[in-house]
Amino acid sequence: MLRQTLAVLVLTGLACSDAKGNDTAVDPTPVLDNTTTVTEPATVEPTAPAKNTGAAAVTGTIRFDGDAPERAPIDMSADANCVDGSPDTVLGPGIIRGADGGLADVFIQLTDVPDEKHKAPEEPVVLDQRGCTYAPHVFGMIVKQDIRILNSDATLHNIHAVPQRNKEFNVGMPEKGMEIDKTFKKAEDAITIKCDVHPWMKAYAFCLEHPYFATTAADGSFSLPTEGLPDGEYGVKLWHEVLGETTGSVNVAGGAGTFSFAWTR
Amino acid sequence: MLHPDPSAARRLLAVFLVLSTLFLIFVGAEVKSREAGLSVPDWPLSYGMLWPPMVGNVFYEHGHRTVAATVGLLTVILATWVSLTDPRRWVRRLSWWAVAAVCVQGLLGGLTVIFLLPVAISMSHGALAQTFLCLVAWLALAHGREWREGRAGADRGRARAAFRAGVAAVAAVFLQLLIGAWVRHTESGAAVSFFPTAPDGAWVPEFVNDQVVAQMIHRGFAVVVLLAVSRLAWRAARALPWARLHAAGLALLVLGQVLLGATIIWTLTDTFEGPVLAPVPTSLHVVNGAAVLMTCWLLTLRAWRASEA
Repeated sequence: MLRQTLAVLVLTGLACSDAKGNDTAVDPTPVLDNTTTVTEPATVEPTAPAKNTGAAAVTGTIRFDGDAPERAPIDMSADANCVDGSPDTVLGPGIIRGADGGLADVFIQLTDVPDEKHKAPEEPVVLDQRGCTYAPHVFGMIVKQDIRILNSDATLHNIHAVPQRNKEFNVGMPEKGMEIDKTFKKAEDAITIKCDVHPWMKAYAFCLEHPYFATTAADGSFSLPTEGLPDGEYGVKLWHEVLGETTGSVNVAGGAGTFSFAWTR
Repeated sequence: MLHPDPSAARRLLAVFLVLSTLFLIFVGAEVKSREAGLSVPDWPLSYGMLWPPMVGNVFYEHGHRTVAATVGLLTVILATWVSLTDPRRWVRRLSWWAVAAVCVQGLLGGLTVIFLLPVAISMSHGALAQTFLCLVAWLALAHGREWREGRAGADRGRARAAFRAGVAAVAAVFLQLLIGAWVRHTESGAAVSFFPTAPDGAWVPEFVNDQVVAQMIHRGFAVVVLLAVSRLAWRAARALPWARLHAAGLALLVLGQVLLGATIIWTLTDTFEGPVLAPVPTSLHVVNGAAVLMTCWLLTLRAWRASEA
């Protein structure tokens, strides 16, 4: 009881490091947002840590501090259906900053979590091809969970997944309203999903062994479910399409924790 | 009274086939340059249709298939025509070798789609395209008067020397095309973003990965190709006075090839995913490389014919 009432949120991130292996413009020494402070150490019983059974979550905000390069408008003139389907100008990939520097489309996952079997949900993850873009742009799923791929556009698409560990697939979806289900059977980060007909269309899928992940919203906020997760300190891995990858850590107590981070460049 | 050349019409078709093949190679190069190869995920049909909507990159991929089918049909027509009218057995056989090559080429193209662009099949598809071009170019040459009747007046010793230089040049250019295909299909085209020297003056980059190695092998071997082709052009010009224009054209093509290669590097665009190649210079580099090979090959054949005349 005491543990629950004193649920303490510890933000660390002392171990933040740039871990991306390619040439992105990631600041090699990302700066943690230190505005969140540790209040008091959690009281942990000496026996096995309790698991979160409620609706608590790790929450926080990911920001980008600095001058984000301007995103170029996508030229969709190669397919008139795309132009008609996207009356507003669609901007290309890049750093999408919301209010107060919140960074959208950052994928956040906990690492070093207990090695337990998590059953894939019956409910599929939905990936929609709409306005010749993918919605969502970055998303996660559990191993063997279905991805339901929809074509809401009045044009043809091919859906082409280019994983490194899973099986590559390339399927045509020539008609509006078509849907197909696909599954990845192995855990893998940042699987590129693209449309070769419309080369600007890209999405990134994360296939995890556990459900402890989230993607930031337009304002950079996120809520990462922790149901079934014992109290403890866990690693946090962040990924952004342009900024790359970095890591930190978070203390989870009673299923709750906060984690905030600011990328700089 | 003038007697019409009985093989003139066939030659015209063969020349048209050569030009169509060069265009096909350019279109095929555009497919790769624009990463359109898998925009049509099925084969032999396209999205289950004979003629899908030509939107986005489907324009390039299905366009490539359409031009390829036309070239295949033209090859069958030429082979049939040659078989019915040309008295030379080797020419008839050569025409059917061209048909076999274009069929295998189509099959390789289909396999690249079905197996999602494996490097070995994609490279084979590129290499066979150049071989097919040489076959149909030979057919066109064989229909000309110079080949049919022979042309006396060449110094046989010099013609043989030109032929030997030609064999070396063709081998060097073909090997360079294979290396180029390797560079292209391992995404190594932009691995070294400077030419000829880095901003700090360095001529050679750090060999940090296989892509840099592939790119630098391609650049290094270009020097060998330049020397081999220049030697052929020089020797052919001396041995075959009537082929001087051909030799000069070859020299221009190979210099143009170096310039196009440099242009590819000078027109790289930086993105957050790394430097990106401009499609048109890259595709022109591919088709000009094919033209260099074909021109070397034809000059070599002419030298051989002159040495035998």
